[in-house]
Amino acid sequence: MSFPQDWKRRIDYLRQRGRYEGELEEEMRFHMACKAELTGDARRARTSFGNATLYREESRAVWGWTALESIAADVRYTIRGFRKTPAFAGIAISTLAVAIGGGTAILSLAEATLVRLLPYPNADELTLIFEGSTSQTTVRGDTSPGTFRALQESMKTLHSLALYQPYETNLTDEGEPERLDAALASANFFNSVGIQPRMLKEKKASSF
Amino acid sequence: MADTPGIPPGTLHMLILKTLTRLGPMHGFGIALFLQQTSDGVLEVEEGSLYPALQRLLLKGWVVADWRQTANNRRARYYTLTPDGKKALRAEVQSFDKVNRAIAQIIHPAET
Repeated sequence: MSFPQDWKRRIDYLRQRGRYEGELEEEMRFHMACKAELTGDARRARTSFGNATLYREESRAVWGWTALESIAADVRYTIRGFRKTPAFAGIAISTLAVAIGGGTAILSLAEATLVRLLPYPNADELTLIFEGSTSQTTVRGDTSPGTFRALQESMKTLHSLALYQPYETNLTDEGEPERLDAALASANFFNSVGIQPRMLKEKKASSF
Repeated sequence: MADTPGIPPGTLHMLILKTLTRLGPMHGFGIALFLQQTSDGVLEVEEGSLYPALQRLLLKGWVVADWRQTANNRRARYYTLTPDGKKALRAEVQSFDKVNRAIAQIIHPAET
C-alpha cells in the first residue's frame, strides 16, 4: 500500500468519476436484479437493498474527494447567487477588495518601517542621536562641531559617530535645473554606516 | 438485520479478499452470496457495507475490477485479487488469528 500509488488511483478516480459512478450504479442495479431473481420478489429485493443513493455516496467518499466536491458545489452555488444579484455582488467584492488592499498596504508599510532593517551591514546596530534641550520643547537641535568632537571622544558604546544633516539643493548646468535631496555629512559618514560609495572624493579632512 | 450478529468490525476486507481467493474473480453479489451461504447465513453482508468496502479495496490496489458476462449473459463487474491483495490478505489473516487466539484464551480459560 504505497502512497504514490494510492494517489495515482485517487487522481484517476477524480478524472473519470463520471465513469466510476456510472459503473457503481450499474453494479448495484445488477446486485438488485440478482437478488430479485433469487428471492423471486423484485419489490422486496429493492426494499431490502436499502438506500442505493446513500451507498453510492459512501462509496464515493472512500476516494477522499468529498470535501473538494462540496467546496466546488459551494463555489458554483455562490457564483449563481452573484449572477442573480449583481449589485450586491459588486458591493461585496469591492468591499473585500478595498479591505484587503488597505490591509496589505498598512502591513507592507509596517513591515518596511518596523520590521525590515536598513540595507547596511549590522543595520541593527545603527542608531540616531539628536541633540535636545531640557528647557526647550524642541527635541532636535543642531549640533555644534565642539559638541560632536566631545561626544566622539567620550563615547563608549558606539564604534563610530558621524554627523549628518539633510537639505535640498539645486543642480544647475546646461538645460533644466533640478531639485536634489542632499545631505551634509562628516567625512567618516560612509565609514560609520559601513558602506563603500560608488564615487567618493574624500578631502583629507582637517576638522572631522 | 439488527437481530443477526453480522460481520465483526474490521473483518470485511479480509472476508472479501478470502472469498476472491476461493472463487476467483467474482462480482459483488456473488461475494455477498458466498459469504452468506458458506457461513450458514450468519455473515450477512449488507450492500451498504459491501460496496464502500470494495471501493476501499480498489483504492488500496488490493483488487482490480473489470466488466464480464455472467453465466446467464448479464454484464457484471468482476473483482480480481492482485498480488498486493494476496499479501494484504495474508497479513490480515495473521493478525486476525492472533487476536482470535488471545480472545479465546480469555473467554475459554480451561481449554487452553
